[in-house]
Amino acid sequence: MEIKSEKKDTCLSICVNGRLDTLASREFMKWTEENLGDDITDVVIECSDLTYISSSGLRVLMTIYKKITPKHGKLSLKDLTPQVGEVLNITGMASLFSIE
Amino acid sequence: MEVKDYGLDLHCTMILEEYRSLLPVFGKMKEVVLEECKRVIGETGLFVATTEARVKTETSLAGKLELKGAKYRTLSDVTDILGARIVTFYSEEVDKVASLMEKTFEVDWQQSVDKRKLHALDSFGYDSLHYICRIPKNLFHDPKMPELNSIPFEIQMRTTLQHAWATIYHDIGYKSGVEVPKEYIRNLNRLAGVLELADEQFSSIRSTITDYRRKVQSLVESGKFEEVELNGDTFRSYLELDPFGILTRKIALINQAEIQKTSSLPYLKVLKGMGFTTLADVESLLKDYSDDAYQLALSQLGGTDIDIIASSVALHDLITVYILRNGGGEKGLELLYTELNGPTSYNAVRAKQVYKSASKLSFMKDLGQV
Repeated sequence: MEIKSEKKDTCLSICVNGRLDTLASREFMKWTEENLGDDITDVVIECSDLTYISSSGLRVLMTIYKKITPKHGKLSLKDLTPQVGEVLNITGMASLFSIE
Repeated sequence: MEVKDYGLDLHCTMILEEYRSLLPVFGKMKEVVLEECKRVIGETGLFVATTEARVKTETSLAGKLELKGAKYRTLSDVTDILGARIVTFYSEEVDKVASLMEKTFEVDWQQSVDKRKLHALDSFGYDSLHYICRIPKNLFHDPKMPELNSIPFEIQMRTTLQHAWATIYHDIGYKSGVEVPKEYIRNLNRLAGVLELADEQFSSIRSTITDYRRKVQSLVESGKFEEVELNGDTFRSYLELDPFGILTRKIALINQAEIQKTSSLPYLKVLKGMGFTTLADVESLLKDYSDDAYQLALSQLGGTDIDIIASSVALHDLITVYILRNGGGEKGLELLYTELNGPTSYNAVRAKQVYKSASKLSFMKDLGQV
C-alpha cells in the first residue's frame, strides 16, 4: 500500500492504493494519527486503485469520520472500486460517507 | 510610572491612591469571581449568554469621584470597582443565577438592589438584579491579600434583552455628556416595557415547547406510537429507546462484529419520503420487515470476514427491504441513496449491486420480481 497526500487549507486529500488489509491498515492508522491535525475539517480519499478493504481498513475510515464530523466536516470517498463499494454497502457505512 | 492628575480634591485623591495600591488585589478578585461564576453555572447545566468581569479603569473611577466623590467615605464604598455580569437568555434564569450567587458569595443584602422591583406598577425602566458581594474565606483566602475577602464587588444579573436596553440607555442617556430631553428618555422607558413583554413571550414559548416535548416523550415511552407524529423531536426520542437494537445485534452476531455507533437521524427524511406520518408506521416497518432485513444482511455479510458494522445498518436494511418488497426496484434504491448521500453517479452503481444481491432472496422470489 502506498499513501500520497496533499493539504489545501482545511482539506486533506489522500490517495491510497493496493490492499487495505490488517497490516496496511495499521500503517494507515498511524499515518492518519500523524497527519490528521485539528485544523483539518474535510478529508477526500481517492480510492480508484484501492482493490480491497478489510475490517481494519473500515475502522480507520470510521476514526477519520468520527474525528471530522464534530467539526461539521465531510469524509468523501472518490472513485470506489466495486469490491470496496460492496463492503461499504453491507456494513451500512456507505450511507455515512460522501461517495463521489 | 507617571501618576496622572485628575484635578480631584484631597479626599477623592486619597481614594484614588488606595485604588492604585489595591489594583493587584482587584485583579486576583476578578480571577476568582469569574472562575467561580463559570464553575457554579456550568455545574447546573444552565446555558447563559455571557459571564464576564472587569476592574474599573482609573479614568472611569476618577470620573465617578469627580461627579459624586463626597458620597464615598473610603474606596470600599465604591462597590463596583470589580463588576461581574451574567447575562441569561430567559427572565426566570436570572433568579436561578441569583440563587447560585447567594450560595457562592457573601451577599450584602443592605446594599443589593433588585431594580426589577423598583418600578411602580405603571412605569418601566432599568430591569436588572444587582448583588453586592464579598468573597468568603472558605472559597478563597490568601494571607498576603487579606483585603480580598473584605472588599465588596458587584454582580449584575439580567436577560439578553435587559442587557441590550441597558447598554443602549447607558450609551445614549448617561455617557453622551449632554442632558437628554425627557421625551427621549420616556421613549427609552417605553421600549423597556416592550422588551419586558418580549422576555415574557420568550419564556412562555420555551415553556410551551418544553411541555410539548415532555408530552411526546411520555407518549413514546408508553408506546402510544399511533398518537405521535413523526418529526425530528419524536424520532430522536424514539431512537433513544433503541428500537433497532435487537435487529442490529442480531446482524452483528453473523460475524461477531463490533457495532460502531452512528446516527440514524438522517433516515428521518427517507421515512417521511416513504409516506410515514407517525411512529406507529416506523414500528410496523420494524415488525413486518425485520425477518427479511436480517435475511438480506445474512446474505451480504455471511460469506465475508467483516467484523465491523454501523449501528444504523438495521434501519438501512429495513428500508432497503421495504423498497424492494413494495416494488421500488433498482430505481427505488437509487432514490434512497440520493436522498441519503446526494446525487452522485455512484448511487446507480450501488443500487445495481444491492438489487443484484437481494434478488436471490426468498422475499423477492415470493413477490415474483426476479
